[in-house]
Order: sequence, then structure tokens, then C-alpha cells
Amino acid sequence: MKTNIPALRQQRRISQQQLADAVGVTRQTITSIETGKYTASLPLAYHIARYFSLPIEEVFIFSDQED
Amino acid sequence: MDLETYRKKLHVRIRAAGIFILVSLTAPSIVLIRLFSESAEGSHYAGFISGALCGLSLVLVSLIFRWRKALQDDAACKQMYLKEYDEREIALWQKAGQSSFLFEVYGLLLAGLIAGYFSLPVCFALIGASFFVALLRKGFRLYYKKHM
Repeated sequence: MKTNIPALRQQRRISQQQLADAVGVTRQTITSIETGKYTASLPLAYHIARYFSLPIEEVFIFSDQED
Repeated sequence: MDLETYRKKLHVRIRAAGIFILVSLTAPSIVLIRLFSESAEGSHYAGFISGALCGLSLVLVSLIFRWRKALQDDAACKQMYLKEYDEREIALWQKAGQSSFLFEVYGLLLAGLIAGYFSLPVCFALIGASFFVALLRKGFRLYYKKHM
């Protein structure tokens, strides 16, 4: 699943580690989410979206072709 | 689980590891050596088990040091907690278990069949182990099916 997380982090000058600490996961998880290798669970996606004060749809790009 | 509950869990782990080290380095070793040291094969087995228990105890000692360090340092404790409860880490372990299951069962069965040409007890032990793994997985699946 594609995300806007890298762009959002750059806008707010936040590192992956800072985001990971804020939402309670490891930096490797944030990296995997950003590269699309791992799809965040609903609670984690909600926490990330809430951290950026944005709706989930603006942070995570869901495509109809995905499983 | 929150960090405070995790700290309590670490305390329990330290105590459990300490008890295991204390028991494994005393009672079983002494009993084993006395019981099995009469025959050459028996003493070989007693030596193997004693060595394995010593090795396991050394691993537990290193873990106890790591856990105590985490309890004294908040940052280290949080890192350890995140590593253990990170959802991607949990998903990785689950996926690895799922992928390796068939290899485990069929690998043990194949090893058992091959071992049958050399030693019947080993053959039965390996085949029994493969059935145990398969039944255990089935049991856990039924348990989680009821609770999820």
C-alpha cells in the first residue's frame, strides 16, 4: 500500500525514528510502511493519521487492485 | 500491554530464569550423573544433558543481565518493549512459523523414514515428533478459532 508518509515527514521535518517513537513501533516498521513492503494494521494507520492530524485516506493511498 | 506491565513481566522472567539456573545446575545434574554414570553410553548421555543445561544456563545469565539493564534504563526498556510488541515483528514471526510448518512436519517424517534404515527407536521418535508438531498446530488453530 502506498503512503504519503515520506512527504508528510519532510514537510514537518520529522525523522522516521521520531514518528516510530510517537506511534509506538520500531523505525524498521515505519521504513517498511513507507516502502510499501508492509501494510499497517488499522489501529497503527489510525495512530499515524492522528499524529499528522489528517484523515487516514490522505496518509494511506488505497488502490482497488490491492488484495 | 503498557510499559509498566512489561516491566513486571521482565521481573517475572528474571525470577523464572534464576530458578531454572539454580535447579538445572544442581539437582538434575547430580541425579543424572549418579544414575547414568555406570555404563559408557549412560555417562555419555549424562554428560550431554549436563553440558546442554550449562549452555542454557549461560544463555539465561546473559538474558538476565540484559533484562536487568532494561529495568534500570527507561530508554533501553522501551526499545526492548517495542522490539517485542512491534506489529511488524509479530507478523514476521507468524509468517515464518506459517511458512516453516510444512517443512518441519515433512522434514521430520522424511528424516524418520531414512532413520528407520539405521535405528528403529530414532525412526519412531522422529515420526512421533512430526505428528506432535502437526497436532499441536491443529490444537492451537482450534483454540484461536474459538477466541477470534
